[in-house]
Amino acid sequence: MKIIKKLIRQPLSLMGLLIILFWITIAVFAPLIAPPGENQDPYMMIRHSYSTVPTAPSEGIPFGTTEGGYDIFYGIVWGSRTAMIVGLTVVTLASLLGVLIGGIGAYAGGTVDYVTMRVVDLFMSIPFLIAVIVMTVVLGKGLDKIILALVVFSWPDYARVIRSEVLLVKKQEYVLASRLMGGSHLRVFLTHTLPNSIHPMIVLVSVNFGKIILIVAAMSFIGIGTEPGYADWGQILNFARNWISGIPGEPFKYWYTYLYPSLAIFSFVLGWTFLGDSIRDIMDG
Amino acid sequence: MSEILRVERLSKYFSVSRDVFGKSKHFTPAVKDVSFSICRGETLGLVGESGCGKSTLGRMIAGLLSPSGGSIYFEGSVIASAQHVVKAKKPNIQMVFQNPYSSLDPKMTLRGILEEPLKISRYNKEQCSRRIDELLEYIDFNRASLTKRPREFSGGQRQRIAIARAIATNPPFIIADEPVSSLDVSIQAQILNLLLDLRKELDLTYLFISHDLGVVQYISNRVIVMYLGRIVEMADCQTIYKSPQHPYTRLLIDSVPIPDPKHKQAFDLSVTNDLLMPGQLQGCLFKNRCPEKMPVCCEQEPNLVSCGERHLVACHNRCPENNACTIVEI
Amino acid sequence: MASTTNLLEIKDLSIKFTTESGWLTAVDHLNLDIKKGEKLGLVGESGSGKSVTAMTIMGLLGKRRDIAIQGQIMLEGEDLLRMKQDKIEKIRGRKMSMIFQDPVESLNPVFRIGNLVAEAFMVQEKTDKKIAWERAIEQLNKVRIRDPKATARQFPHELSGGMCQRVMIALALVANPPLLIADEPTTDLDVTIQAQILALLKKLHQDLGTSVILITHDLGVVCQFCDRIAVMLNGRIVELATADSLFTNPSHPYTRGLLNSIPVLGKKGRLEPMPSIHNQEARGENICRFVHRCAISTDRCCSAAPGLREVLPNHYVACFSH
Repeated sequence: MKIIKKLIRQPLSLMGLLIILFWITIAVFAPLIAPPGENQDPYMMIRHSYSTVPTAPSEGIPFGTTEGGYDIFYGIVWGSRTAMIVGLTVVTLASLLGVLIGGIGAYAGGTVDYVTMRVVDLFMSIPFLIAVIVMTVVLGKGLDKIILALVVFSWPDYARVIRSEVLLVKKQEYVLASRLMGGSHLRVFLTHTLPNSIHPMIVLVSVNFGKIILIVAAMSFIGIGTEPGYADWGQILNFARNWISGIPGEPFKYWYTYLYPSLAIFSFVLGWTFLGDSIRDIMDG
Repeated sequence: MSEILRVERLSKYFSVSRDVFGKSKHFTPAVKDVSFSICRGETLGLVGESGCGKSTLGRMIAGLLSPSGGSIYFEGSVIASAQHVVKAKKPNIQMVFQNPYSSLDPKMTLRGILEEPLKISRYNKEQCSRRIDELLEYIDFNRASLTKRPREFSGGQRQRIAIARAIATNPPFIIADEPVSSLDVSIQAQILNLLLDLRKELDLTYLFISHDLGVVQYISNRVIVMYLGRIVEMADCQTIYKSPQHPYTRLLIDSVPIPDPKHKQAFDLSVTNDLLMPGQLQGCLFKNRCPEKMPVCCEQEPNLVSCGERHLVACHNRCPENNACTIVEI
Repeated sequence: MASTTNLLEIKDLSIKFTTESGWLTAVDHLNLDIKKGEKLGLVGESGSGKSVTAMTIMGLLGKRRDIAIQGQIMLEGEDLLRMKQDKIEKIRGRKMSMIFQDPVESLNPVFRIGNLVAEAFMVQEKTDKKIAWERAIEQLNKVRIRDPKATARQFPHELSGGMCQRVMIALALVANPPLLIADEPTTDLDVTIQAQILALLKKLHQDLGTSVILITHDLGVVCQFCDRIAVMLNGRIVELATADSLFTNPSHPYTRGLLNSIPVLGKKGRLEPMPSIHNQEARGENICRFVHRCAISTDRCCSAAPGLREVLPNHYVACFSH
């Protein structure tokens, strides 16, 4: 609770918190803000026409449409849900996996630690973005496949961080004392080692949340992310690709096609980064 | 008095370097061929300077480290032998550690800390709460403190909590590893008195590890002096302070500054080399610092021999005809 | 002692820190003189303000907004607290030096011992490298380091703690400063090494005439080392006397309590610890520092702070019962 109090007191972290809160509200009330049509998958963007040219904002279409007539406003609103779902699932699964593998390896020590750390090294030596792209291409399009690929290649980060913490904590005398009382390894690990080494994970989770969204957007932008029409910020940017330079004499004619999704991604990632950095500062100080 | 703990030729080697395959290449003895026994109700002091192996010895007896050789018996049955620690059915041996700041889990409340040993030993809820009340009384805390966390207590209070946790399940044997050396002197005295009172009240046996001779003298019945992993002298507390036999014991005792202006000490200005090179491990390990060095000291390691009633010493000088002396088997 | 002049005079020194719950008085109206060639002991438990006083004398706290320092510290007639930072830096090492509790941490690990000491000579005496190196070896010899030539080529981590403390002393005494402050110099060392370091400090004091302020919590150490002893409690001096007088006639209840708390080799009898109250330490202006733990306190002790009064020749006590 103290941490939250301190977070609110700092202007930077307060801003981060407010931005994240804003996006959570949008995501939660998405059906009210941008009601989907009947018999429509709400995660597919509403299509107003099949026009090959984007149309400017007008009544009923506040942010305009992309090429192909997709409603940008609808995409931004429902895209916030996509961002939340992807971010949350990926950091939860990856940190869980990382904590289990890294934590148990470090606690057990010796050969177990050696083997797990070599596996981590192996994963860390593969370029992250390329690995994720290759895996998604192989698995095919769809949110679940992106999530899977991101989890598979981001857990080693968490494993490394938790390992160094557990190595410190397991030498603490309260851990030895617990062993002396006859506590089992599982009990000692769960009641003493883990709770006392989990702190730096919070920072990592927060910073990585933003990072994950950036990567998903980048992948959708180059067209290997979600299926076409899926409400996803990167996807909208993908549609804007041909219109970014405008037309001769009017370079910003199609500003709405890239400004809104860019702002969404930018603010979302910034919010999480501010929050993560502030948590780190609070814990260090 | 019956024997409660017995240690036989206990050794511990730590590997210094490893080869490419992770196999240990060099071993240095932290504890070598240490034998002694402790009687029920006794407090055995273990004195020595840093690196003499006293903490390693304590942790082996507690079962936190496995010995490289030798064996440990508790109430007649083996609890640890070479490379093997027998899993205890009951937590008979508990420890109080040096640093009261790292010996309590910062995330737990006082209640959680005291409850943990009880829960592990399967006390039910009612027994738990009754026992906690008793423990609070021993260490003079009120119930309001139960919801506080370690950081809200001072160093002395934390050490009291650590002691309460150690005695929670009524273990007969407590190892105290430098329990007062990180505390202020006025707090030190409180903790020492608490340990003395508990020993009387609960019929405890202590192995008391410390570098402070004054503290050890105050609390112990019998004292072992260790130097670089070996026992150099072992005797009753009074004997060892009145007539120390080993030159190292004498050096230790003479080095302690006494707060008494009538007793002016002239400390020796001569510099001693306190580090032993790997090639100097044969013979007596104290030879480099010893004022009474003889040729034999460089060649042969002295055995622990009897030089008085319940008084053992490992020095060639105390027993010139080495062979004539009886080597004491404990 | 009247003929000897004062080297350092601390007048009415107060040091306050800001904490989350307001100002905390670390040192409270402290008055203390150190005579030329004197060995003064500053004894107290943790939080007594003894180390903060030493850091302030050395100018190591600097000028910071969260620390308020008042009073005067006169070293050979100059007020250290009114001095500019660059001038203090010049005085440091020349007129006063300090050694610390952890000698291994205090030495830069990437330099050889010889280079560390030679560097000090080059700065203080503006000598060239070769002469400085020779002077460094002389200096190491002075602190009785065996085979100084070989040691000069070693790195700090290759030496034991006792040896590192010797190097620290060598460094501190490069320019023969008239004042040496030793902050718990032997606390981390083994007792046999402690005896050697104390013997060395005593010998150097004799040879060089340096005044020494020894800060420690160990009453045995000050008794054996110091001429005069100041006992500190929560930022104030409660008793100030010659070593002989302090230990034969301990007059403040706190000093007596301390002496009754330490197990002394060769003495028997149960220790009588003082009661301790942690949550309400007496730190106010008009209150005796020991009042909550004192067996003989009266109402007066809660309403006024007792000042130091001479109860025996050169023996000062801050207690109303005298």
